[in-house]
Amino acid sequence: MLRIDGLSISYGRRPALRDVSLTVVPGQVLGLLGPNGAGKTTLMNAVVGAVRPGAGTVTVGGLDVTRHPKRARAQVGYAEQEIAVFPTLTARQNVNDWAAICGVGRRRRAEAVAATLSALLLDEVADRPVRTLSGGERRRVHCAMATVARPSLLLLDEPTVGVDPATRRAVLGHVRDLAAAGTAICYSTHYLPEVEALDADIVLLARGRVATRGAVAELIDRHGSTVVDLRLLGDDGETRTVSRQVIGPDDLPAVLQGLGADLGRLAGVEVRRSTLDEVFDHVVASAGPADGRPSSPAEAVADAS
Amino acid sequence: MRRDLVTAGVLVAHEWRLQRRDLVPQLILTVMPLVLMAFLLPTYRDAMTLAGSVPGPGPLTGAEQAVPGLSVMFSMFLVAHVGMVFFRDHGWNTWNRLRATAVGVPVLVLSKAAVPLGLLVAQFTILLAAGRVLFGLRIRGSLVALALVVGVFAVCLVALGLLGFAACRTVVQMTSAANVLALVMAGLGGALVPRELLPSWAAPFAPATPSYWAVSGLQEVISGGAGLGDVAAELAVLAAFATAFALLALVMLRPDQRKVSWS
Repeated sequence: MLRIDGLSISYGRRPALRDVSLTVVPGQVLGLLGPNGAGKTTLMNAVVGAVRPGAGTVTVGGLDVTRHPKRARAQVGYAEQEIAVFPTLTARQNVNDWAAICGVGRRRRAEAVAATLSALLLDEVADRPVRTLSGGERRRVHCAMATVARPSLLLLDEPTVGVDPATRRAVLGHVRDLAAAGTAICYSTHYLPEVEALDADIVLLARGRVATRGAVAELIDRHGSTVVDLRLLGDDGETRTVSRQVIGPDDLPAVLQGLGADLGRLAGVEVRRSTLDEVFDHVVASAGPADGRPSSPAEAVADAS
Repeated sequence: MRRDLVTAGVLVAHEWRLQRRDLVPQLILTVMPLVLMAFLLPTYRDAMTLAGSVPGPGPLTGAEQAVPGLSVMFSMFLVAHVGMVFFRDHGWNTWNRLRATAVGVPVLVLSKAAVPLGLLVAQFTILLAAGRVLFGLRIRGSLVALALVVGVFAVCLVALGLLGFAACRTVVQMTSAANVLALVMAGLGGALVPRELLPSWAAPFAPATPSYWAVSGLQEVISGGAGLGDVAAELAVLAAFATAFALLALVMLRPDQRKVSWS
């Protein structure tokens, strides 16, 4: 559904994406991870043609987005990171009007709007002006507008930033349902448990490049290690945890010896595999230091001024 | 093409839904000229007598200048409103969102501009009708000609509003420039005072403003009893202004440029 080949984009002389290639097939959730400024938003903007590639191609449903922008965008639903809603309209009017703008016919629209509002737990506030809704409710309306037309490709850029757990569960549930119905989804986030909950394949961007990719388990196998968590008892009676990477359980005696005088404070030991968080930190650190590259033209402008 | 027309219809309905929730600015810009007409009618009558202006048969009432002049002047204050439609979408982040859909920029811009165009025509219609009912304005010429002058001038103002949006980076720049421009053009064009009373330094510049041709066309029809053929020159010049503003807007518009709105 989405195919990106050798995509490179620069803002002025600063590269934002460098030779990025990836694909998302129908029914797949691709978790797009990376630190701030890694190029996640730029990549999504390139898919909807908001930024032009310096090199490489982006195709949606087989259509090159630079050659057939309208036909390609007709297949895409996009919820940017910034909430974009019409605050003077009600939640229902926002979603309904957006469905109409995206070409959903009148007969199918009422049903699609009701189903989308319901899926995102917006029934109770559907007829309230969006300006009176909470931040989490606004974000759900924002997401509902992206999904109401049931696009073939859905781009969600940090859809759960700043929301409560109930909103997060609602958004994730909706994303899972859409993927199960065959929508190809590109999901950018900083909350790594979300990509695990979505059982997403991961592309990790760092400094504009694909640093690694694969399923969560694959990434942990490839980049993770065995970790020993040592729980040490402090003078105040509280325990603190110190983690040490090891090659295997056989290294445990050496780790314990390394504690020296603190060995007497040892309250517990746990041997485990690296978490996705630790793999993320390791891969990003391996990619080199952050270079302050802007993640969008707006940031580039702000930097310049 | 058919798909574009359907989308345009949807966007116009959507834009109207947004705008009808707050029509206070349009209401004020319609009531204010009526209040001014009530106060200034005798002054305009005296001024026209002083200037030796003979707009047509029958006694002078002052409405011959007040109604078309103040209608043109206050319609020019709506130019800022045209630009606001687009700056508002930037403030709500919905401009980029709309640009990420399959809707092309020409359809998007024209559909959004259609609502202010309708509001401008409505403002003129109300002011001319109120001028007739409240202040005894007599329209001696062709109503079709009158409608065409109003329509083409409204298109010209919408094009000017689009140019303001294209040229300005912030909403403050746009509203400030639009208000100054409205006053200058209204003054130079004979909307504020009869053209015969313009200062000698200003008179030569009057034809360089669209307001001059709008006031001239309206007065030709209202007082001079003109028909369609008699205002052809005014219509042609107004159309030329509209085309020039639209072309300039087209050249200067950067759809992907971030604009700074109120919010």
